[in-house]
Amino acid sequence: MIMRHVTRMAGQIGVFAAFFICWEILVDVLRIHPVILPAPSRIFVTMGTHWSYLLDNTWPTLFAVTGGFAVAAVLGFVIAVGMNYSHLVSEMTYPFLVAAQVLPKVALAPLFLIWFGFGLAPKVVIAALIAFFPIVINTVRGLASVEPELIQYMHSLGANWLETFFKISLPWALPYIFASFRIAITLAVVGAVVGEFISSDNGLGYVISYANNSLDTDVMFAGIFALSALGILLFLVVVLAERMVLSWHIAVEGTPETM
Amino acid sequence: MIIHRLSMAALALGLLSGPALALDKVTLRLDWVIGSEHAPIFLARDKGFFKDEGIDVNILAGQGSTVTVKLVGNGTADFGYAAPDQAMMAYAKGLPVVATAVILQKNPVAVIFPTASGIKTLTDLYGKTLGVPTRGVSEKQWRYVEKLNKLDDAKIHQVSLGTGVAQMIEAHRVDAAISFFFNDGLKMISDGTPTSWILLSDVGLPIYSTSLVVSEDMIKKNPDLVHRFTRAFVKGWTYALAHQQEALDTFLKDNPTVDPKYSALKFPEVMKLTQTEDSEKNGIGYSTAEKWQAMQKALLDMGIMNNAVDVAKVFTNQFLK
Amino acid sequence: MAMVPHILTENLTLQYRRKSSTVSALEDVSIDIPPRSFISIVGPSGCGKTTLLKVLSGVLKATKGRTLFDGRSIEDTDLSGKIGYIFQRPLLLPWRTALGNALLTTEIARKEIPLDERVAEARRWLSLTDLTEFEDRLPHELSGGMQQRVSLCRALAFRPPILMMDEPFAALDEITREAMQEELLRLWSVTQSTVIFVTHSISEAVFLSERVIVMTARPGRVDEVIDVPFGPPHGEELRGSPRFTDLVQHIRHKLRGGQAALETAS
Repeated sequence: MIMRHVTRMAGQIGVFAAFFICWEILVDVLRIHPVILPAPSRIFVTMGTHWSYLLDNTWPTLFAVTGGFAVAAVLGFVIAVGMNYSHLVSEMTYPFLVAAQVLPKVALAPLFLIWFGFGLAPKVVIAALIAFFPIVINTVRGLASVEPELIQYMHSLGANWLETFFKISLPWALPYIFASFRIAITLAVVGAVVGEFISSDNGLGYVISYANNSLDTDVMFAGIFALSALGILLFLVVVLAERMVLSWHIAVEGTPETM
Repeated sequence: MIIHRLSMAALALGLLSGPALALDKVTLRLDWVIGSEHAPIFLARDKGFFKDEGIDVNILAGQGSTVTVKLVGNGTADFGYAAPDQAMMAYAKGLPVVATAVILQKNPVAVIFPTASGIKTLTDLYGKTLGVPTRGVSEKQWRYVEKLNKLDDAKIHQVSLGTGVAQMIEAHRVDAAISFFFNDGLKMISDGTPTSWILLSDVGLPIYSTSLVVSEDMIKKNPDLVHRFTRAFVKGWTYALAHQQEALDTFLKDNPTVDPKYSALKFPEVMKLTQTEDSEKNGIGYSTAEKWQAMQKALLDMGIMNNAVDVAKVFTNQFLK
Repeated sequence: MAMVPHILTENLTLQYRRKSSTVSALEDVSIDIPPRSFISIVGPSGCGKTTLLKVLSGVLKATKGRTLFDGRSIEDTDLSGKIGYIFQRPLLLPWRTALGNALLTTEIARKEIPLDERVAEARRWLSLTDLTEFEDRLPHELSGGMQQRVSLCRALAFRPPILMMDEPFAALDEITREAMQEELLRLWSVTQSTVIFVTHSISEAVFLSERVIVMTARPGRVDEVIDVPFGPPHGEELRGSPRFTDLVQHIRHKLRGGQAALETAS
């Protein structure tokens, strides 16, 4: 069992290593100037020399991402429950949901600044707005997938709506909900960074855009790498949480372990 | 890269196949989205100044001077219209980009505020909220100005503000903000809010503004093309200065979607920025080693540049006439 | 234990509209289910067996006719917590152990009983179905037959006066099915509830029940009601005996004839 995990992890690290090696070689062979695209070795060195700067700016982004994700999860969940139990709510909410999803958040970001001011708030709002759609869709799907005979059974036993929801529907929908969490956490990262690009004086998005404008391409990529690492880490947290909550489901479905 | 190679091949073919008929096809990447500040460039094209020099130019909108300088240094764009301090920074980092004509000699970055606020000097900002763009070098420029004018940083409540300056001021989220005066300041006037500004160059910032840039490589390989292009380019600006209404009208005709009221306000202000004693004496685009040195020193002091370069390499006046 | 009612239906008809025509799922169905009896409803697909179950449990409403529980109309009867179900698929909650699943019904319908008594009761039924050593297993770790047994425990644990079973053993292999049938009869003798058992297997119906209601399709009508003469024990010998096979043949013949008539008519 352990051997299988180790081999798998070694394989995944190997893929990353191969990618970086190719990159390193290409930059050299094609004589690409470091201001245009630096080699990974330069980037890693820069990450080392600037580790404190990067770390200090990771916290604000982390807060924005987790804040946005939390809001998206709660909001998405509540909307989905409403849509599941009321046909009217479902009919009326659906078009708004789709509209909210396709609206380019980058265009709206300056408006959010005006409404929410500076600091964490606009970043959290943008992150939440981008991340909540898959959560709603999947939660609705999950709740709708409950076996109707079980609902009827609960009803005939005299269970009220709350009991049926918490004992049957919610746990039944959890695999779908967690699947959407995986997507939503990555979207929350995108959203937080969009917010930081528009206006912020901290965060990894700020590091990236500031370095870009100063032609400091090494630092820019160091920021990008740090951001990627943050995203991967948060994704793993979600996967871990899923493993813990849905141990029964993982065993049944035999979900291929993604890292 | 490929466009560069193709255009070089086309040039070679053009020279081989004979004079008059074959035009040199080149790309010019601007610094930002197309606005009336680019009117003289479009005028030069429409009046055939480029054709007269045997050039067929494709003018492309830009996404910031940083990107344009990278594209020029890379060879993806043949010419660029971008901030010369970015060109110097690129040169210092080993990506040799050269300015062949410094068009806007006065920097348009300013502290913008509604006239009603009563702000007259920088110290009037004490106790107020100031929006500072932290995405680029403008923040460091502001810090430099603060240092030069011995401002007490703590007395001004500064917030990070990259875009939407006009909206933010009008929504009273900030009392003042730092931006290009001819973008946000004039926008506010156009919207009906009397607005004033303090140009950073008036309070000590010695930074040249948007220039024609080209890669050092191109100058080595085809100085004749660079010469012809620069000449046509500068001719457009000289002509526009003397025929401002015609320039504006042509631009509005070519770009019907821009706001004509705002464009009419912006254009004359932009043309004013081309005028300094150097340009009045030697023509538009003429820059001096002295001013370039001052700019480099400021950039070094600001910490934007880490190592100095020989300014004589970064600019040249040889292609102006 | 709750009072086991005497269930009667009188001329039950259930119609619904489908593409501008009216379809009769049930037509004029009158059946008599004495308390604590084991009755089967058998017939081809489309004869309304499941529909009849749903009307009897109150899920569907008849268009015409009446359903009576101890003389009272179904609309005036509170059936809440009185009916246990076993479906064709076990439909266990995948996140609960066998014990947890068996506890579900008492958790909802017998809250007044303290927890440790409810657990003991669930364990009792698990032991009766030979599942004690599997009580901590999750459903995916159990075979189809074992899952169905847990489903049985779940239904029996809260001691409902009425058990409704809709083709519960149809998905099992023959050996397991026969074992489950015998187990069911054993459990039934302990609970003494009324069992209403729907199946399309004639031999199963004859083996299990005291009364077989034979239905025909399109529309769903009662063709014949047969009181099965075999008393206990019901085991291997019964399955092979001539009187058993004769009765099964008789019913099969009836249904075949009815089917043929249907085919010539359409």
